[in-house]
Amino acid sequence: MRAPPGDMLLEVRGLQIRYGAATAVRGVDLEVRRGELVAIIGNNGAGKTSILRGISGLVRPSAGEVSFKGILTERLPAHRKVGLGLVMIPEGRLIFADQTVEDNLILGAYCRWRSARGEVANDFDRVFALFPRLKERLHQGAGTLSGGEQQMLAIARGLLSNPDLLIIDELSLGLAPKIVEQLMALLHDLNAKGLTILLVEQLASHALAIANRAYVVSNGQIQMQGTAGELAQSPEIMETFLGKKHRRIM
Amino acid sequence: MTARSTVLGFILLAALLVAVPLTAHNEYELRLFMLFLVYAIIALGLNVLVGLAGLISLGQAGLFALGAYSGAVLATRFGFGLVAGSIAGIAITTVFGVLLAYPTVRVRGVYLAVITIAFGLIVENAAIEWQGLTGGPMGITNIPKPHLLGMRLSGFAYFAVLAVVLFATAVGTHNMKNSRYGRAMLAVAQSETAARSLGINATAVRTLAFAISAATAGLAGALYSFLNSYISPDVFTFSDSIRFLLMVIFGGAGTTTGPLLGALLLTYLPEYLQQLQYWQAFAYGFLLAAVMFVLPQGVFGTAVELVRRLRPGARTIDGARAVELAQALRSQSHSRTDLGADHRAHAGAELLAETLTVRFGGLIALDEVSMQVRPGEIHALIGPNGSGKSTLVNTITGFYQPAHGRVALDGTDLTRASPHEIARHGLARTFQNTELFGDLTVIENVMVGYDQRFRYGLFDAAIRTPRFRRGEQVCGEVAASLLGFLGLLKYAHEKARFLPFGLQRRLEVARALASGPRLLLLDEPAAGLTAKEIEELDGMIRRIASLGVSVLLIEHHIELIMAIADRVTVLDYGEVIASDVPDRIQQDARVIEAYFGAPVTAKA
Repeated sequence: MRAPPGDMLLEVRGLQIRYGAATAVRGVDLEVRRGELVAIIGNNGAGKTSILRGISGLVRPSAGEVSFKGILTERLPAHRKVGLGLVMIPEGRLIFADQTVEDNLILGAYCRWRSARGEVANDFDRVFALFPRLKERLHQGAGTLSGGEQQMLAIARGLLSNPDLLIIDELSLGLAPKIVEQLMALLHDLNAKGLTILLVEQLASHALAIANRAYVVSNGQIQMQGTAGELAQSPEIMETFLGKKHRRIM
Repeated sequence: MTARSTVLGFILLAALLVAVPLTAHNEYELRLFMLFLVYAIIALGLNVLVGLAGLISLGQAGLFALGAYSGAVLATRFGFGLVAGSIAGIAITTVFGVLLAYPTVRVRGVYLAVITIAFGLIVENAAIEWQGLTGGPMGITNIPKPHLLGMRLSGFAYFAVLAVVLFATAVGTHNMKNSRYGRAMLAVAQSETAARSLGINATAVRTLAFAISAATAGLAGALYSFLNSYISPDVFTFSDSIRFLLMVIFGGAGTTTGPLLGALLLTYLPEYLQQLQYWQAFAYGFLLAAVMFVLPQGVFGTAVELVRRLRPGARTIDGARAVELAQALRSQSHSRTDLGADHRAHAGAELLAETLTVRFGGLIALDEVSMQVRPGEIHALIGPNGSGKSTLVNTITGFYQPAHGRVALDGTDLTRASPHEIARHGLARTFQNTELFGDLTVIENVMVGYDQRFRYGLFDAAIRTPRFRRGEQVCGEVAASLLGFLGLLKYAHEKARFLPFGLQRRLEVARALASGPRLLLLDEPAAGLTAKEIEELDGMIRRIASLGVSVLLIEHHIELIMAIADRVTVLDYGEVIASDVPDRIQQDARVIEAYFGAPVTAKA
């Protein structure tokens, strides 16, 4: 068993996000405690990515509170939140394709220019230990990496920002089953070593297998929440997200 | 924009063109307005290049000069009249416009801007230095007064000529914007890759945009020379080129009203600012900067955006109409039109790849890869990330050239064909990282997909012939029913980039189907979908295949592949390691080792 969850790290209350006339997120409450791995699952267009964008500061919520480490952050721009330790790996990875792997990693540590050089160097070594492949390709253009390697690079870049909370949007997107297994196992390990993770994932079975708790989002609201074990047993979840031989005739 | 407000706009324009000469107090006011008409013709044409094709020209004054000098030289030396001089001006500038389009094959953006600046400077200097032809810095004087049908045109009569030409240019460019040509230009500007994959020849589209902007500048030049009866190099300078570009951007690029408004403001503004004397240039610059900062899409563009935001209801009415339309179509049991495959053969196409080898530098990305998609089958292509799947897809669709090997569709060799030619042979595709035309609406995206099936030409589009109307009608119906099929009708008039990722993927399928393909290549259609959505995708792909479209499916969701694929080809390190029916692929030791990572439990 993992260590019991610690104090509150992220607390979202009544989050609402609008794009013009459309409301994407309608009053979401969500919390992540230190040391947890929390998953958000839901259909396309349910508002998962919007919730993450609201938390990370890429969009400004139209209502609600986002407190991180007890600081109210909903008015802070995204780059300031990274400095606080709230780091997001965006959907589709968004690595800097025209720069080398090394440059991508250095940019990951961009917000730590005040930190001691040795501390950052240690983190580079840690990341290379996790992803030896990246060390081999250090001077290669990041755009030439395969999809799996790009996702590794995105995670490594995120880790170099020294996160207290790592937010990942769609880890498995476009990856072969074998790579997905590897990366899920890696997240599980990172979490076991103490990293707090908030994961949005379409492959609900994988997400529930490694998460402590999960939220199910539907139509911009939290539809269900509970421990990963409870949710994995829920008939509704099985039908919608785990794909139990439920063929629909179009 | 609705049809009614378009008609209203043109009535307003016509009213303005009639009212001004009636209310003008003196010759000077009339002349200034005629100057505006000339500039507006240039701005409307330049808008096709800037607002639709997304290219920049900072050499438009050079084309304007070419038209003006052509008209002037031919009139003074060879006795050409207004019509012949204008036609010659158009012809000569169009040739140069086509030449200017050629560099776009290699360069875009700021690099293209530099080339057009260079062109403008060359023309300006040629006008100064080639004294024998152009009269040098003194220019050409005594250009004969314009005649039309043997009649000498007075000030008012020439005003009428300019007004009619401007009105015709406005109507023509507006109609073109709302046709396959306008859509193709917008599409090429937003995603050239996707446009080419839909059978659109991107180079031809850009050349057309350059030709139109050049022809209008040439026409305006010839008209200007007859208006002024004197031309000299100092009205065709680089700063004039900037002014023409500003007219488009300042008014609102991509709209028809915008360039007209921009031309009006930038013709009259300097006149009013003259009262400020030496503050004039400063005030002009400050006003431009301030307006562009406050109204980033130009005066008219920003106004349109505001109205759209204040009245979001307007779009849902259109959406409701589309639903009705689709229901009507379904009740008429147009079972084939709803998949856009009406005029195609009933069986899907056979795709053959033979010993394809692709090298990037020293790296061998594909090594003697052969595979076959049989007519009408659903064929899956799987493999680890980095195994060469994307390279194979890009080679089949013409984006990469193989070092050797062959690609054929139904026996037609397409190895050296370009992407748009391959698309026209009936191969449509979707993209791993979605390549939608984000600023076009959902239904417009699908209508771009239909492009290669249109049978009307530029002339039909400019004057909206019955052939044009019929073509657009069918295209709209096919697009609406495809949106219905993919459950996207209620988003028909949203901009594509506002759709969530999963729906963007479905829109790509709709767009690809609109081209009426015989082989559909789906690049990771299930990525980012939930299990339930994947089950819907399953039904959708089966339905597509049942309508006589072969499907090549690149996918990682193994349950989906095992459920629907007739055969599976597996790539690893650029080589085919297996190609067989799904059951045997699941048992294959090499595939398990390379791809699944662990034995897959047999399906119940």
